[in-house]
Amino acid sequence: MPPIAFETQPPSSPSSKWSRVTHSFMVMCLATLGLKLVNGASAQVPAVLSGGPPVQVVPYVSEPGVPSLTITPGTANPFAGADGSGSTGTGSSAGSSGGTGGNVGDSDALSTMLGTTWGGTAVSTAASLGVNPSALAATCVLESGCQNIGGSGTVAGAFQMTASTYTAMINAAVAQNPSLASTIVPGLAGQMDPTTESIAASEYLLQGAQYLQNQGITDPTVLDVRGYYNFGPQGGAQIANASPNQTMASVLTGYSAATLAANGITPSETVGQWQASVSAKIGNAASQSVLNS
Amino acid sequence: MVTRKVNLLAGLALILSCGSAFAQVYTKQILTGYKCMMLAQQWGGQGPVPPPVPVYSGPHPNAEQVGIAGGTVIVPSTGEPNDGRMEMLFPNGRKVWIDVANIVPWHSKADPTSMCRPVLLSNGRYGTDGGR
Repeated sequence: MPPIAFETQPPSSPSSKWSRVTHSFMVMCLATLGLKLVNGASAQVPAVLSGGPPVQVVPYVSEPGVPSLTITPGTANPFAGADGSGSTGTGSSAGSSGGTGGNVGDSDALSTMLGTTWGGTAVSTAASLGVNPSALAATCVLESGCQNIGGSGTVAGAFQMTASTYTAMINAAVAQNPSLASTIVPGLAGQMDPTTESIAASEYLLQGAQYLQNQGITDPTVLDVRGYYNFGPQGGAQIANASPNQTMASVLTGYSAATLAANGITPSETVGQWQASVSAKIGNAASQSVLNS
Repeated sequence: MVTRKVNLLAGLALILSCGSAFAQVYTKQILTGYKCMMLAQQWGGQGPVPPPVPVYSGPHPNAEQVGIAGGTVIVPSTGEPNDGRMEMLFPNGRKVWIDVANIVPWHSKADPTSMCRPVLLSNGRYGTDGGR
């Protein structure tokens, strides 16, 4: 085998569409800063307490037409900063397009899950299985907005797992950590118990990341594992190792144009655009590692 | 004037802070002396997934399995099989071996005119881009 030789290649110039995405993102960031500055100037209270939700300002003079808002305290985020700038992923993050997703922002994914009654337990479970809680949170945000809902066929729950996948994963998780057995809702009823399904979903992420590691992919990210589950073991690795400017059609070598179209992939869609569409929904959790190291 | 500068700096700081979620990967270097091939049994999103294709630490029959091949594999441009196995480059840079019967020349079903070029990506992975 020859020694690895390189030709110097400058970063590819962004496409015009990517430039638009970048521009949109910057606009979104500036808008976010603007909101933060306004809030900071007018409220004069700490934006977030380390142990809970933002402090509510209690008006002593009511303003006509303004609804009364009540913030229900959720679980304090034990991973402050986990979704923040300390991203540990090394994978193919592409960022946010800043216009299509409802969950764009540094800690939205984890915060969304922690805003549920079961989120805190799910975080602990994920960590006990060696899974980054932000990766688990990103999964429920993408699948259901972290709502415990039904789905088509046997798909159900906050993580929208099929009955067969759920059963296989919950069994594997309990085999890996027998102490979990006493905490789960047995049978398929567990699929609609978010705490129980979160265990199965954590195992699912764990196995996906480990499969990618077996394919030589160091430190799989949330985006990498998403590609693995959306496009299979071969396609997942192909996307994880592809330059963002390649089209999905060229990278997913085994897919026909018809199958790609059925999966919502247009002929000109690039890997970077697909990654951006996922990132737009989960923020920078997309580039974080799936596995706790 | 000062206000304008402050605003400019604030905007710049914000853009930089938002950049944490915008770490676009790019082709860092082209790998010369290598070419793309792919697994002979491709999965196209339907039907049963083909069995995983093992990769080994060496060409000899008793070499240990060290992993599984992805859909696209990177091999030396002029490499010859050794004991029925071809050396290939794993995404993490490790040199491993794959049964030559399991790989075929690279081509894309949905985009037959596309090309594949082995590269080193900016995230440190050995992967591909579509250079022609």
